[in-house]
Amino acid sequence: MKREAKRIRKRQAKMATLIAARLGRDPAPIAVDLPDRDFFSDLERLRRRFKRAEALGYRHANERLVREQVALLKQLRDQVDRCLYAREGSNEQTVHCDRKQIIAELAAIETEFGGIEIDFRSQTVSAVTPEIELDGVCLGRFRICLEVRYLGESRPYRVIALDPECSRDCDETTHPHVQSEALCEGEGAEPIKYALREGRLSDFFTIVRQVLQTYNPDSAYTQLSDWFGVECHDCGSTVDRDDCNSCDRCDAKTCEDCSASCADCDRTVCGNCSESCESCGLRFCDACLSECRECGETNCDDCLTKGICDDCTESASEETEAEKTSAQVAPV
Amino acid sequence: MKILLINASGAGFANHVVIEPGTTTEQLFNKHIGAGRESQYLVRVNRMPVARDQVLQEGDRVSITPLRIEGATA
Repeated sequence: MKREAKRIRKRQAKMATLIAARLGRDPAPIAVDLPDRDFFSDLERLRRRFKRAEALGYRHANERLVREQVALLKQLRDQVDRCLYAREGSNEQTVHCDRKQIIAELAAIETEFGGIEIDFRSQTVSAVTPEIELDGVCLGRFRICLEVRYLGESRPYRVIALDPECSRDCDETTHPHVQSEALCEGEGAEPIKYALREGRLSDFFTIVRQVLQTYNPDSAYTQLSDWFGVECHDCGSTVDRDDCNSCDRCDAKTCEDCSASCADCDRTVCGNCSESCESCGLRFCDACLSECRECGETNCDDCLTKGICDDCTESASEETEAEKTSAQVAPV
Repeated sequence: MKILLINASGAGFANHVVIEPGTTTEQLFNKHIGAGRESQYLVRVNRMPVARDQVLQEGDRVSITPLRIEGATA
């Protein structure tokens, strides 16, 4: 056991030497951009839309606008942080990327993740997440693989699904925010960038793990509700997202067999939002159908004359003819 | 006294901050993040989990990482 522990420490020390050398090369300068004034115009615009939606009682619109405001405020906060950092902290090196620190980082990763894999041939350092389950969908474990030779460049790591449960519509999408082993970092982008830049490897691995354990339905390659395909609202069969249609009236998803086009306005409609005209038999959306004033049956505009269907019109004229004939043959 | 604080919510910079001697992890967290939100974050001192009443020392490295960090599509 002691020999094994010593062997592990030796490997970590050797990898730390490689990493420290890589990080010691000229780091990219921090771009200093003052906050864009358009942020404030956008925030003001969102505030006005929010007030309007609130006054009209549009709850869903309100929720969406709040999410947009939060995302915009976070972007503004990040930009302000970057400017402050560049102006206040640029002369002081906050974190030392020396070999001793990197050894401590690798040991911390081993503790945090319950293990660490070091491969000198591929020059990678990897840690494996626990099984990830989001909204009831089991996505399995992921290996976060840091490629030391690419440190200092953008995206020097891959996220590899070890028990892939790919989305039905794309077998490169192994996680709502991972496609082709590339993580879309979202809120994690800045912390990941600075963690790698400063050699804070344990922070890097932890942040990536937390991104993998968080589901953002507003910006996913595939929604988890559609992960295994989309269920047709009408017949219940499961189809690929690309093979389903969306009802223009109620947004329900239907397979190609169950969706129809309104014969009048051409809208795509589901079974619930459409009906056949009782006279001509063609399919129409609810908005293009009316009830006959006489019999109450559903007809399209072409099959109604002054609100009365062709059948009732014909019946009415037959009755009129019959009455006329009766009147003519009535005994004097 | 000075410690290194890494706040991974936001831009994720590492900054030296000055704290009073005797400041605990919890007090530092409440000051920079806010009381009552501990369950939403991972807090590590010198890369290790610690008790909330641990008293911080000169040169300690404190990292605070949100449990929820939202990814996005490209």
